[in-house]
Amino acid sequence: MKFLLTDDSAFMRNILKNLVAESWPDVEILEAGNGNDCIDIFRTQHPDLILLDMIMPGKEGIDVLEEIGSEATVVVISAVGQEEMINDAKDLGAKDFINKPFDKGRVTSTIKTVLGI
Amino acid sequence: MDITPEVLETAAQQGAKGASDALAMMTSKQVIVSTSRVEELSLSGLVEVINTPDENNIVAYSQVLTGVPGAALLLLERQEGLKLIDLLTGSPPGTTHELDDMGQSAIKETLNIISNSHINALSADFEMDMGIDVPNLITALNVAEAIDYVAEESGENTTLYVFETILTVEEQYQVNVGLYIIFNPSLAQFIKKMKE
Repeated sequence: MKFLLTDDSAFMRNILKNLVAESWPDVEILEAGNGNDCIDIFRTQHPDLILLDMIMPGKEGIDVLEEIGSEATVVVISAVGQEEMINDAKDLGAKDFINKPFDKGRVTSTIKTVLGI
Repeated sequence: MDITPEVLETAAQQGAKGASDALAMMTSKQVIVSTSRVEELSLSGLVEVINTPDENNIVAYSQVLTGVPGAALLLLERQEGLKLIDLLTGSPPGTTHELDDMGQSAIKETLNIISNSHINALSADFEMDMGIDVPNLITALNVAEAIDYVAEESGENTTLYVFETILTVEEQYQVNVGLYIIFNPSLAQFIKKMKE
Protein backbone atom coordinates (compact mmCIF):
# COMPACT_ATOMS: atom_id res chain seq x y z
CA MET A 1 0.00 0.00 0.00
CA LYS A 2 1.00 3.61 -0.55
CA PHE A 3 -0.03 6.62 1.55
CA LEU A 4 0.48 10.18 0.29
CA LEU A 5 1.05 12.73 3.06
CA THR A 6 0.22 16.24 1.84
CA ASP A 7 1.04 19.14 4.13
CA ASP A 8 3.15 22.26 3.58
CA SER A 9 4.64 21.74 7.04
CA ALA A 10 7.66 19.41 6.96
CA PHE A 11 7.26 19.12 10.73
CA MET A 12 3.68 17.83 10.37
CA ARG A 13 4.65 15.47 7.55
CA ASN A 14 7.33 14.08 9.85
CA ILE A 15 4.81 13.44 12.63
CA LEU A 16 2.46 11.69 10.20
CA LYS A 17 5.31 9.75 8.63
CA ASN A 18 6.38 8.37 12.03
CA LEU A 19 2.80 7.58 12.94
CA VAL A 20 2.19 5.63 9.73
CA ALA A 21 5.57 3.85 9.92
CA GLU A 22 4.86 2.74 13.51
CA SER A 23 1.42 1.36 12.67
CA TRP A 24 2.03 0.05 9.15
CA PRO A 25 5.77 -0.57 8.62
CA ASP A 26 5.18 -1.99 5.13
CA VAL A 27 3.31 1.03 3.78
CA GLU A 28 5.23 3.08 1.22
CA ILE A 29 5.10 6.74 2.22
CA LEU A 30 4.92 9.46 -0.41
CA GLU A 31 5.08 13.16 0.43
CA ALA A 32 3.78 16.38 -1.11
CA GLY A 33 4.29 19.91 0.24
CA ASN A 34 1.48 21.51 -1.75
CA GLY A 35 -1.70 20.77 -3.65
CA ASN A 36 -0.12 20.74 -7.12
CA ASP A 37 2.41 18.09 -6.14
CA CYS A 38 -0.34 16.11 -4.42
CA ILE A 39 -2.36 15.91 -7.63
CA ASP A 40 0.72 15.06 -9.73
CA ILE A 41 1.77 12.27 -7.35
CA PHE A 42 -1.80 10.95 -7.17
CA ARG A 43 -1.95 10.73 -10.97
CA THR A 44 1.43 8.98 -11.34
CA GLN A 45 1.78 6.88 -8.17
CA HIS A 46 -1.87 6.03 -7.40
CA PRO A 47 -1.67 6.03 -3.58
CA ASP A 48 -4.29 4.07 -1.65
CA LEU A 49 -4.82 6.97 0.76
CA ILE A 50 -4.15 10.70 0.84
CA LEU A 51 -3.86 12.55 4.14
CA LEU A 52 -4.55 16.13 3.09
CA ASP A 53 -3.99 19.51 4.75
CA MET A 54 -6.39 22.30 3.75
CA ILE A 55 -4.44 25.59 3.87
CA MET A 56 -1.32 25.38 1.72
CA PRO A 57 0.54 27.65 -0.68
CA GLY A 58 -0.66 27.33 -4.29
CA LYS A 59 -3.46 24.83 -4.67
CA GLU A 60 -5.22 24.40 -1.33
CA GLY A 61 -6.79 21.24 0.02
CA ILE A 62 -10.23 22.24 -1.20
CA ASP A 63 -8.85 22.68 -4.76
CA VAL A 64 -7.28 19.23 -4.56
CA LEU A 65 -10.62 17.75 -3.50
CA GLU A 66 -12.37 19.51 -6.36
CA GLU A 67 -9.98 17.85 -8.82
CA ILE A 68 -9.52 14.36 -7.41
CA GLY A 69 -11.95 14.02 -4.48
CA SER A 70 -14.22 11.70 -6.42
CA GLU A 71 -11.37 9.38 -7.49
CA ALA A 72 -9.05 9.37 -4.48
CA THR A 73 -9.47 8.14 -0.91
CA VAL A 74 -8.83 11.29 1.08
CA VAL A 75 -8.82 12.04 4.80
CA VAL A 76 -8.43 15.73 5.62
CA ILE A 77 -6.19 16.73 8.54
CA SER A 78 -6.45 20.45 9.20
CA ALA A 79 -6.33 23.06 11.95
CA VAL A 80 -9.33 24.81 10.40
CA GLY A 81 -12.24 23.31 12.25
CA GLN A 82 -15.15 25.41 11.09
CA GLU A 83 -18.31 23.56 10.12
CA GLU A 84 -18.57 25.04 6.64
CA MET A 85 -15.11 23.86 5.59
CA ILE A 86 -15.69 20.40 7.05
CA ASN A 87 -18.96 20.09 5.13
CA ASP A 88 -17.40 21.40 1.90
CA ALA A 89 -14.57 18.87 2.19
CA LYS A 90 -16.97 15.99 2.79
CA ASP A 91 -19.23 17.13 -0.06
CA LEU A 92 -16.19 16.99 -2.35
CA GLY A 93 -15.40 13.41 -1.39
CA ALA A 94 -13.27 13.55 1.78
CA LYS A 95 -13.94 10.41 3.80
CA ASP A 96 -13.29 12.09 7.14
CA PHE A 97 -11.99 15.34 8.64
CA ILE A 98 -9.53 15.27 11.55
CA ASN A 99 -8.72 18.45 13.46
CA LYS A 100 -5.17 19.43 14.34
CA PRO A 101 -3.85 18.92 16.92
CA PHE A 102 -4.85 15.29 16.74
CA ASP A 103 -4.72 12.29 18.96
CA LYS A 104 -2.60 9.66 17.18
CA GLY A 105 -5.21 7.00 17.91
CA ARG A 106 -7.84 9.07 16.10
CA VAL A 107 -5.69 9.10 12.97
CA THR A 108 -4.93 5.38 13.00
CA SER A 109 -8.53 4.39 13.74
CA THR A 110 -9.77 6.63 10.91
CA ILE A 111 -7.28 5.10 8.46
CA LYS A 112 -8.35 1.60 9.52
CA THR A 113 -12.02 2.44 9.05
CA VAL A 114 -11.57 4.21 5.73
CA LEU A 115 -9.37 1.50 4.20
CA GLY A 116 -11.00 -1.44 5.98
CA ILE A 117 -7.64 -2.71 7.27
CA MET B 1 -24.89 40.09 16.23
CA ASP B 2 -23.77 42.95 18.50
CA ILE B 3 -20.12 42.60 19.41
CA THR B 4 -20.24 44.05 22.90
CA PRO B 5 -17.28 44.20 25.34
CA GLU B 6 -18.81 41.18 27.11
CA VAL B 7 -18.87 39.19 23.85
CA LEU B 8 -15.24 40.16 23.19
CA GLU B 9 -14.19 39.15 26.70
CA THR B 10 -15.94 35.79 26.42
CA ALA B 11 -14.36 35.23 23.01
CA ALA B 12 -10.90 36.04 24.42
CA GLN B 13 -11.34 33.54 27.25
CA GLN B 14 -12.67 30.81 24.99
CA GLY B 15 -10.03 31.49 22.34
CA ALA B 16 -7.27 31.30 24.96
CA LYS B 17 -8.67 28.01 26.24
CA GLY B 18 -8.73 26.61 22.70
CA ALA B 19 -5.13 27.69 22.12
CA SER B 20 -4.02 26.35 25.50
CA ASP B 21 -5.67 22.95 24.95
CA ALA B 22 -4.09 22.75 21.50
CA LEU B 23 -0.57 23.51 22.78
CA ALA B 24 -1.00 21.03 25.64
CA MET B 25 -1.93 18.35 23.13
CA MET B 26 0.99 19.23 20.84
CA THR B 27 3.56 19.17 23.65
CA SER B 28 1.97 16.52 25.89
CA LYS B 29 2.66 18.91 28.77
CA GLN B 30 0.53 20.95 31.10
CA VAL B 31 -0.07 24.42 29.68
CA ILE B 32 -1.52 27.31 31.64
CA VAL B 33 -3.03 30.52 30.34
CA SER B 34 -0.87 33.22 31.98
CA THR B 35 -2.60 36.12 30.21
CA SER B 36 -5.82 36.34 28.26
CA ARG B 37 -7.32 39.67 27.33
CA VAL B 38 -8.76 41.71 24.52
CA GLU B 39 -8.12 45.42 24.23
CA GLU B 40 -8.57 48.25 21.80
CA LEU B 41 -5.06 49.67 21.63
CA SER B 42 -3.31 52.58 20.00
CA LEU B 43 -0.19 51.79 17.97
CA SER B 44 2.02 52.82 20.86
CA GLY B 45 -0.11 50.62 23.12
CA LEU B 46 0.47 47.68 20.78
CA VAL B 47 4.21 48.29 20.81
CA GLU B 48 4.11 48.23 24.61
CA VAL B 49 2.10 44.98 24.70
CA ILE B 50 4.28 43.07 22.25
CA ASN B 51 7.35 44.51 23.94
CA THR B 52 9.15 45.40 20.70
CA PRO B 53 10.63 42.11 19.51
CA ASP B 54 14.34 42.08 18.66
CA GLU B 55 16.87 39.57 17.33
CA ASN B 56 16.47 37.61 20.57
CA ASN B 57 12.90 36.77 19.63
CA ILE B 58 11.36 34.30 17.22
CA VAL B 59 8.33 35.79 15.46
CA ALA B 60 5.88 33.97 13.20
CA TYR B 61 2.93 35.63 11.50
CA SER B 62 -0.08 34.81 9.45
CA GLN B 63 -2.74 36.86 7.74
CA VAL B 64 -6.36 36.53 8.88
CA LEU B 65 -7.95 35.65 5.55
CA THR B 66 -11.67 35.79 6.06
CA GLY B 67 -14.00 37.57 8.41
CA VAL B 68 -12.32 40.64 9.90
CA PRO B 69 -8.96 41.69 8.36
CA GLY B 70 -5.97 41.29 10.60
CA ALA B 71 -3.01 39.14 11.52
CA ALA B 72 -1.90 36.51 13.99
CA LEU B 73 1.55 36.76 15.59
CA LEU B 74 3.45 34.18 17.61
CA LEU B 75 6.22 35.60 19.76
CA LEU B 76 8.84 33.67 21.70
CA GLU B 77 12.11 34.44 23.39
CA ARG B 78 14.70 32.70 21.20
CA GLN B 79 15.95 30.31 23.90
CA GLU B 80 12.38 29.42 24.88
CA GLY B 81 11.55 28.87 21.20
CA LEU B 82 14.41 26.37 20.96
CA LYS B 83 13.07 24.62 24.09
CA LEU B 84 9.61 24.52 22.49
CA ILE B 85 11.13 22.79 19.45
CA ASP B 86 12.64 20.17 21.78
CA LEU B 87 9.20 19.60 23.24
CA LEU B 88 7.46 19.39 19.88
CA THR B 89 10.00 16.99 18.44
CA GLY B 90 10.14 14.84 21.57
CA SER B 91 13.81 15.68 22.21
CA PRO B 92 15.37 16.14 25.68
CA PRO B 93 15.58 19.78 26.86
CA GLY B 94 18.68 21.53 25.48
CA THR B 95 18.93 19.44 22.30
CA THR B 96 18.07 22.21 19.83
CA HIS B 97 20.68 24.97 19.52
CA GLU B 98 19.79 26.43 16.12
CA LEU B 99 16.58 27.32 14.36
CA ASP B 100 17.03 24.92 11.42
CA ASP B 101 14.45 24.16 8.71
CA MET B 102 12.59 21.56 10.78
CA GLY B 103 12.58 23.88 13.80
CA GLN B 104 11.19 26.72 11.69
CA SER B 105 8.53 24.38 10.37
CA ALA B 106 7.61 23.34 13.94
CA ILE B 107 7.26 26.98 15.05
CA LYS B 108 5.10 27.85 12.02
CA GLU B 109 2.89 24.81 12.58
CA THR B 110 2.51 25.82 16.22
CA LEU B 111 1.19 29.21 15.10
CA ASN B 112 -1.07 27.48 12.57
CA ILE B 113 -2.59 25.15 15.12
CA ILE B 114 -2.94 27.39 18.17
CA SER B 115 -4.12 30.46 16.24
CA ASN B 116 -6.71 28.37 14.41
CA SER B 117 -7.84 26.91 17.74
CA HIS B 118 -8.22 30.47 19.04
CA ILE B 119 -9.86 31.75 15.88
CA ASN B 120 -12.30 28.82 15.74
CA ALA B 121 -13.60 30.03 19.12
CA LEU B 122 -13.79 33.66 17.95
CA SER B 123 -15.58 32.52 14.81
CA ALA B 124 -18.22 30.72 16.86
CA ASP B 125 -18.69 33.69 19.21
CA PHE B 126 -18.84 36.27 16.42
CA GLU B 127 -20.95 34.02 14.18
CA MET B 128 -18.70 34.57 11.16
CA ASP B 129 -16.26 32.49 9.13
CA MET B 130 -12.66 33.26 9.99
CA GLY B 131 -9.43 31.60 8.97
CA ILE B 132 -5.73 32.21 8.64
CA ASP B 133 -3.29 31.88 5.77
CA VAL B 134 -0.07 29.86 5.65
CA PRO B 135 2.27 31.02 8.48
CA ASN B 136 5.75 32.43 7.93
CA LEU B 137 8.64 33.61 10.08
CA ILE B 138 9.56 37.28 10.19
CA THR B 139 12.27 39.39 11.74
CA ALA B 140 11.96 42.08 14.37
CA LEU B 141 12.65 44.57 11.58
CA ASN B 142 9.51 43.38 9.74
CA VAL B 143 7.45 43.99 12.89
CA ALA B 144 8.79 47.55 13.12
CA GLU B 145 8.03 48.05 9.40
CA ALA B 146 4.48 46.78 9.93
CA ILE B 147 3.92 49.29 12.72
CA ASP B 148 5.31 52.12 10.57
CA TYR B 149 3.09 51.03 7.66
CA VAL B 150 -0.06 51.03 9.81
CA ALA B 151 0.87 54.50 11.15
CA GLU B 152 1.36 55.82 7.61
CA GLU B 153 -1.80 54.26 6.17
CA SER B 154 -4.21 54.79 9.05
CA GLY B 155 -2.56 57.59 11.04
CA GLU B 156 -0.86 57.57 14.42
CA ASN B 157 -4.22 57.65 16.17
CA THR B 158 -5.54 54.48 14.62
CA THR B 159 -6.64 51.73 16.96
CA LEU B 160 -6.27 47.97 16.79
CA TYR B 161 -8.27 45.22 18.50
CA VAL B 162 -5.74 42.90 20.08
CA PHE B 163 -6.46 39.46 21.54
CA GLU B 164 -3.42 38.70 23.70
CA THR B 165 -2.83 35.19 25.00
CA ILE B 166 0.28 34.14 26.87
CA LEU B 167 0.60 30.40 27.34
CA THR B 168 3.14 28.86 29.69
CA VAL B 169 4.37 25.32 29.26
CA GLU B 170 5.23 24.13 32.74
CA GLU B 171 7.59 21.57 34.24
CA GLN B 172 11.30 21.88 33.51
CA TYR B 173 10.70 23.62 30.20
CA GLN B 174 9.12 26.92 31.34
CA VAL B 175 8.33 28.16 27.85
CA ASN B 176 6.17 31.25 27.37
CA VAL B 177 4.34 31.45 24.06
CA GLY B 178 2.76 34.79 23.13
CA LEU B 179 -0.14 34.66 20.68
CA TYR B 180 -1.50 37.97 19.40
CA ILE B 181 -4.50 38.11 17.11
CA ILE B 182 -4.68 41.69 15.89
CA PHE B 183 -7.54 43.12 13.87
CA ASN B 184 -6.68 46.13 11.73
CA PRO B 185 -7.18 46.54 7.95
CA SER B 186 -3.83 48.30 7.37
CA LEU B 187 -1.94 45.58 9.21
CA ALA B 188 -3.68 42.94 7.08
CA GLN B 189 -2.73 44.97 3.99
CA PHE B 190 0.93 45.08 5.09
CA ILE B 191 1.01 41.32 5.61
CA LYS B 192 -0.54 40.78 2.18
CA LYS B 193 2.05 43.08 0.55
CA MET B 194 4.88 41.34 2.37
CA LYS B 195 3.68 37.99 0.98
CA GLU B 196 3.66 39.35 -2.57
